[in-house]
Amino acid sequence: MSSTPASHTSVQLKSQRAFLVAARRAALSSPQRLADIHADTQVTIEVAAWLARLKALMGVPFAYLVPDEEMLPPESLRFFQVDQNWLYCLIDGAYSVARVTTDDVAHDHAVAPHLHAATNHLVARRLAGGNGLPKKILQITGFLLRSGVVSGWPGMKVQCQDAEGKVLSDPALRIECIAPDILLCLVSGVIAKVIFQLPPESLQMGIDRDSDTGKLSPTKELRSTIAPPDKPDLKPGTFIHGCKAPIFLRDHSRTLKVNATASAMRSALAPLKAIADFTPAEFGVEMSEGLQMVTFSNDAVHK
Amino acid sequence: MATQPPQTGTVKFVDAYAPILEAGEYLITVEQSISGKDSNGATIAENYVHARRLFVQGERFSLDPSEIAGVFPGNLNRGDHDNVLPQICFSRKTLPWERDPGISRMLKEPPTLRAPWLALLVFFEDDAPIVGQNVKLGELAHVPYKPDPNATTTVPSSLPAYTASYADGYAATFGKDKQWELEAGQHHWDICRVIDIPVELFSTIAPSCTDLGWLAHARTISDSRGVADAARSSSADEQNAGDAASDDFSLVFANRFPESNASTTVHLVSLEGMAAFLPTDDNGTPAHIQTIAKQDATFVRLVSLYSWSFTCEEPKESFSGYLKHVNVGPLQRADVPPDKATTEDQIVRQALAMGYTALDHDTRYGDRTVSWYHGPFVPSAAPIPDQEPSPPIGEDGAPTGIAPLATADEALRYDPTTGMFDVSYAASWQLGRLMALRDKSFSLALMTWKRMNTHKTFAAIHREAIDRQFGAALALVPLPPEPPRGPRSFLAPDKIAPTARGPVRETTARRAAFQLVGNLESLFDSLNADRDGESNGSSKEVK
Repeated sequence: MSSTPASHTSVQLKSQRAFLVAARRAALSSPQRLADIHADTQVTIEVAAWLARLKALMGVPFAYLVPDEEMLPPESLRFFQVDQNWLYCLIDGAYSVARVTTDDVAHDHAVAPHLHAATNHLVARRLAGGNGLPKKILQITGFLLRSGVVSGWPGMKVQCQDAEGKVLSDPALRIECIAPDILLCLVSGVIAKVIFQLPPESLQMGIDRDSDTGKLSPTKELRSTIAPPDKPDLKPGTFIHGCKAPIFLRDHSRTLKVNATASAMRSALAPLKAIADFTPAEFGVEMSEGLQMVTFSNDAVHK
Repeated sequence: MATQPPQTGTVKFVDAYAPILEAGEYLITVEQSISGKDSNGATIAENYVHARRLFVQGERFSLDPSEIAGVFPGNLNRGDHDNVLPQICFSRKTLPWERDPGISRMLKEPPTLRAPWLALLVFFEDDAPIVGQNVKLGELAHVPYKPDPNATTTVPSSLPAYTASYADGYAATFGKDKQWELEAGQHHWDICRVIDIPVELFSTIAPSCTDLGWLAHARTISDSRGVADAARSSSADEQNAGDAASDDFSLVFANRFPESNASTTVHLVSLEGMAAFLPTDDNGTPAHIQTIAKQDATFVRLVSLYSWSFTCEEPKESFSGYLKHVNVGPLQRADVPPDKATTEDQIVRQALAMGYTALDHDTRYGDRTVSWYHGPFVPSAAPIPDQEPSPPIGEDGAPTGIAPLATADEALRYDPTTGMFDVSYAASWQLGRLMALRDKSFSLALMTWKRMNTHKTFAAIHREAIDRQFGAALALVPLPPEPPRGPRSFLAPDKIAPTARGPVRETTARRAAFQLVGNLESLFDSLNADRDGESNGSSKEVK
């Protein structure tokens, strides 16, 4: 054993190495220490974007979503809430790739808050619809609709509301036909009501049908075309409760007496101050069909 | 009407869009008169007139299909439409008001509405038959016409003496003020589609003079996307919403409801100058329809610009018909047994109400059992257990203070009272792992990120350890490229730790420092290599 400076250093390094290993062990076994080191660690966008898609359950096989066909028979609509635990396990499972050693577990633990925060941030950005600030993610709920309308009316519009009437689906977290006749909708917030509507292009002119006989109804329920002065909250286009006008037809030909019907509507609406003027535009509003909107309530949600 | 842009997903109704110029022939005359005296005192009185003829062309005997934005009910549609007035939409917002049917001539007071020249006539299967055919424009009047561009002589019109058409309508509506004639660019030999309607039927179903103005309006739609579009944009991922567009179009609707359980044909006809033939009042009192030769007509010939047909059927085939038959409920198995006192029934009922279903379970040891499973969707009323492996959810929606799972088994739950497993969370964990592994680009990105994190940890730990051990000496690294002249020491006296072993000879200190730095670099590398081969935290002993 010579005592040249070089070998002296090498001996020192051996103990040095043991020291470093010990220091590392100590740091890795202290979650606080690891968290401090990774306080500014950023998540790569590929990872966060993929997990954000997973958070909307994209790519999850249908059999996992609905394990039993009895839960979603043909021509049915099913409300649900999303189990956060299930979602957490799904995300953690994806996150578990390359998690082998206890060191890995310690690291995954330390940076998990960043990972979940980044994922949630992207989800929140999607909920903001690309404009405005990211929205806070509330409890995620949704519905599944299995019906012929899904394939038959692809232009159908869906609106979800919570118990306070706030619109939750603008935009929805996810709204997608996951099978030709199955529509999946996920929103942030608790759905109390979902409204299906045909697009405005197909707004039709027509009158109601008597629900018992199927014959044309002799009256038409009227809408306001402006907000009346005494009811400023009434939106134009909403029905005025109990306000009806007769429908006049020519004898035996199903032909509408248009001017007579329009005049009757005008005289029914004028005392209510629900019209400013009565032109073909207002007549068009009054004649538009109200039936092509169907609302479902989620009975499990009480205000 | 308000001029603000409409909100998304709204429809604005407009009574009519008047064209700036109606179709037809115009004469522009410019006239200038000069009067006064010239320098010689002679009186000047001159008048200059300049005239230009102008033709505004518009649809008259045919319609470009691209002008039609849509019809309802759709062509050949079978559905529940017998309470709906058929309608046609035009992409040009002024189209229905570009010509004059002559209504103002028929009313005692000046009309308040601008009447369209287009109307939809609805014909049933059991109406008196109408005859459709393609004819030359000359066949719309009773006078002889030139049948082709090169003809030197005219031929008599084949329009029967008992059929009234536009020439007759103009004569009855406008009298001597206006005559029916072709406009610039229109020829007697052009072909158009006409229908001959029995007078009695026409008087029964045609809108009256007072009705016509109500049957057209314009709409401004601000687009809101349907389900199909929304799905497309959601898969295209973030930041692309807000592409709403608004659209103007005009709309003409019919005055007759389609027949139930039968086929219905709709014709878009031109009523240009035909006001005199329309029923005269609100009750549809028929007009006296005569040809130009004062003969009572038995048919009316109208230009059919477009036609389509559809069938009205059972209500179930409609949008609302479908939805009315939809069964609504929570997402759970329906066969919850009725209330019974047995414990087994209670347990099953409880589980199903929470969205569980029982599935066959092949365990890892090869035995088969039945376990509970539920998906991510559970009934809204079901309480979600707030326990392992669920982490408490923080303010920002991120779980806090829970260690990630090492295996799916950690998420298995066992109910000792029933002896059954709940595999829901274990299954979802395993599914997430498999999905991540299947997507190579994601698993690679995730691994790269994790490796970066590990290296960051080690770099931080080592940096700190070395700082502590070697004190300020390493603050010298990197070495200056060229030792400065003058005093040959690069160990500045104040940088040496106070515990340094006495004065160090320059050359020895320098060699030691170089070696130290080099050795540390390789040490880090070997430590990192160790770390990759290490498992279960058993640290290797350093030799």
